[in-house]
Amino acid sequence: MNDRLMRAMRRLADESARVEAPPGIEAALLAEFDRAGRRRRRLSWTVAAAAIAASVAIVFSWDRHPNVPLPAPAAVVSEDAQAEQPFVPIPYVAPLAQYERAEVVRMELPVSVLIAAGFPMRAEDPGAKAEADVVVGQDGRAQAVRILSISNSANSNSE
Amino acid sequence: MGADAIRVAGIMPESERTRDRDLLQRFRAGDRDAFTEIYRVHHKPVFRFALLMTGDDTKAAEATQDVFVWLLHHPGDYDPLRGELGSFLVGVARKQLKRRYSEEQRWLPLDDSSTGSVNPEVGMDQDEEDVIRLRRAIAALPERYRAVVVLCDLEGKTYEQAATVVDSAVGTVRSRLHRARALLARKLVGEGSTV
Repeated sequence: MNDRLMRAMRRLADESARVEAPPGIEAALLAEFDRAGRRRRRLSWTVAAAAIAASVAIVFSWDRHPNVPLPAPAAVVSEDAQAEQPFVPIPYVAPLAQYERAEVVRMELPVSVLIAAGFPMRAEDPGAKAEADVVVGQDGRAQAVRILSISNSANSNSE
Repeated sequence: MGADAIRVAGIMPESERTRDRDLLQRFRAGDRDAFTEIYRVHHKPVFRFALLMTGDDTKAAEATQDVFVWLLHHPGDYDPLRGELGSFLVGVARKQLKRRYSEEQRWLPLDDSSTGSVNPEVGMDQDEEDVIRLRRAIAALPERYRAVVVLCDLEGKTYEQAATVVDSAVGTVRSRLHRARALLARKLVGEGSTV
């Protein structure tokens, strides 16, 4: 770098080192931090509510999707096979917008709910639970369900 | 200059890395004070970079706010293995500015008077004139050259830090900086009355 450029560069660096960002930015960011925190807390509550909603929705969806492939009863499905299970969309729920985020939440659903919905399962173990992935939208509503495995109540209790 | 001395000064002490790691961990756990501290520690370089890149206070302030709002909503996207938090945030600012610039390109001004060029005033000494010319010359550089000049020569970042920001190899930063300085020197000498 030649001397003249070097001198000008140093002066410009000194000048710019003294500039300050407007003070309002910090306040705006903290307000956004608080808003985001409230959204997160609301989401965690609604995820819990979504679990219940998903259980109920399965009852309705089964009537509309009687041919959905299901995992074998009383069997634990391998990880690869789990990924191939289809999600069953939950009816009467507004679909996600393109910009909307969704989370997949893994949860346990009582098999009794599935039996009541007409899933082909043995009735001798109504205490068994089904592990499922539930797609939950930003507003906390369950959008779709994927059943991964069924465990009987004896296994659940021994754990 | 300065440039080499500044580059040495640009190396981040281990204590600051540890501080950033700690702040980030607390921020990810929802600690509001940690987020405030991250902002207070890192907003100045982000704002200065945005200001030097755009030459516009308002745009620089908006870009700075956008960077930290982005961090707020993507707390897990920073990987400490890929560089320092400060450089990462300046990199986010650069991407925001590039996107904003490409959006603005769809709305071209009708004449050149709105480009914010500054003319040296009567009574200024040559150094003051040179700073104004340099500011204008930097603003006229292509973005890839402008970014490395701002980072290395004005912000005192090391080549490695600048490479993190511009997401390029260190060798690319070196060659761009070399080319940019040559362009600036030519501009300064070409416009000035004496060398």
